[in-house]
Amino acid sequence: MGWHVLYLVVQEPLIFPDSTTILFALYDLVWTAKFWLSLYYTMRTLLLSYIIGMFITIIIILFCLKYSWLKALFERYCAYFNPLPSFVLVPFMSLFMGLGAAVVYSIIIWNIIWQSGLQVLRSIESVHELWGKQVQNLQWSGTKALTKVYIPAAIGNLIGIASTGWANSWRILISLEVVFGSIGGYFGIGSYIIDVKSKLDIDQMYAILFVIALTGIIINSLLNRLKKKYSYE
Amino acid sequence: MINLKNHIVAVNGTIPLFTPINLSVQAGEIAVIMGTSGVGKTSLLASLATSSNVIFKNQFYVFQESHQLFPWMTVRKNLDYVCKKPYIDLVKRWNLEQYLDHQPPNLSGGQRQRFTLIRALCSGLSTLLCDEPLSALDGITGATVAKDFREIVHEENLTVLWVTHNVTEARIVGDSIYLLSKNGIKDITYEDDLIVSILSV
Repeated sequence: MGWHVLYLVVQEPLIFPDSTTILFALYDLVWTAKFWLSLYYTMRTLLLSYIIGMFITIIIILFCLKYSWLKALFERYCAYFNPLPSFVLVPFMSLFMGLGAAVVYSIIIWNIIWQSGLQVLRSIESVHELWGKQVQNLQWSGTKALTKVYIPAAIGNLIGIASTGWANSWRILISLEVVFGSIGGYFGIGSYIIDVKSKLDIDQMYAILFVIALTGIIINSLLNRLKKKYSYE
Repeated sequence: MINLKNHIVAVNGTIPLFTPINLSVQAGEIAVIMGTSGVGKTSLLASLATSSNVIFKNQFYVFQESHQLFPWMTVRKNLDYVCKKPYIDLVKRWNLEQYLDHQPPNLSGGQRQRFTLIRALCSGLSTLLCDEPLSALDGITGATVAKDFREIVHEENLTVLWVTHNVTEARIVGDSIYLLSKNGIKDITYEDDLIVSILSV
C-alpha cells in the first residue's frame, strides 16, 4: 500500500516502479531458470563457507574449553575482531588472494569465527549450574560431557547464534556478489541484481530484493522455531 | 562407609557453619541428617562430594531439584547412560514403566524424583548422598518409596547419607538419625519425639 502511494506521489518508475508491475516481475522471475541458478550458486557458496566456518569455530571452541590460555587468547582476539565489519577486509584480502572466490569464502569464514565463536563459548559455559554438577556427579568428562550434556543443554542458544550468523553471512555474501560480479566463474543472486539493474529492468530488481528479504525471513523464522523447541533452560 | 572426623564446613572457606563434627556411617546403613533451614545440611553433603580430606570415592549425589534428568533424552536413555545394574524391576515396583519413553519435562516432579532415585540406586556406586530426594512426593507415595529404598540399601549394602525435613520420612528410611545445629551433630535416633528433640536444640 505504502509503496503504491509512493509510486503515485513520485511518478518516477525507474525509482519507484508500480507495485503491480513488481508482482508481475516476480511471477516472471519464478519461471526464469537463470534466477534459480543464481540463487542456487549463492546458497551453495553460503552453505559451504558457513559449514567450513562453523567447523573451524567448533574446533577452536573445543580447544578453548581444554586450554584456558587459548581461551584467554581467543577472547582477546574476539574483542579485537568482533566489532570490525568483515567487509572492510576486502581490500586487504584482495591483495593476497585477488578478486576470486577465495576472498568471499575467507571473509564469510572470518565473520563466523569472530562473531559467533565467543557466543558459542559463552553459551556452553553458561549451561545451567545443575547440569555442570551432574557432569561432575556422573564423573563424565571430555567428549562425553560435551556431547551428552553441554551441547544438548546449549543447543537452543547455539541455534540462536547460528541464526544470527546465517543472517549476517547472507547479507555479506550478497553485498560481495554485488561488488565482485562473478565469484569463481559463477553468477550469484547479487550479480543478478546488478545485471538487471544495468538493463534498467527495475521491476525485476525489486522482485529479486523481495525474494532475498523473503528467504531471509523464512530461514530466520525456521531457526527461531527450532531454537524455541530445543531451549531447555 | 563414610567416616568424618572433626569435619568443618565453612562459608566462602572462612566462616564455619557449625562446630567440627564426627560422624560414621557403615556400609548398609542409612544416616538421616535433620535440622532447621539454613543450618548447613546441603553444604555438608556438598562438602562430602568435593572434599579432599574425606576418603571415599564412588559416591552418587541426588540433588534437591526435581529436574535432574536430562530433558533432551527420554527417561529410558537417562537411565541407560548411568545405570550399571538392571533397573526395570524397580521401575515396575514404583509403577513407572509407562513413563520410560517419556521426556522428563512431561513428567510430574514426584515421578522425576523417583526416576532420579532409581538412577542413583542402580548406578553401581556404593555411597549415595541424598538431599531431600522425596520433597516433591505426596506423603503416601513418599512413605512407600522410602520403605522400598531402605530395603534395597540393606540388600545392596550401600552407604547412604539422607537429608530431610520430614520427621515421618526420617523414621521410615533412617537406621540412625542425626540433628545438625551450629553446635555440631547430635544422635537422636532413640529419642521418642523428634520434634521435641529438634526444638530443645
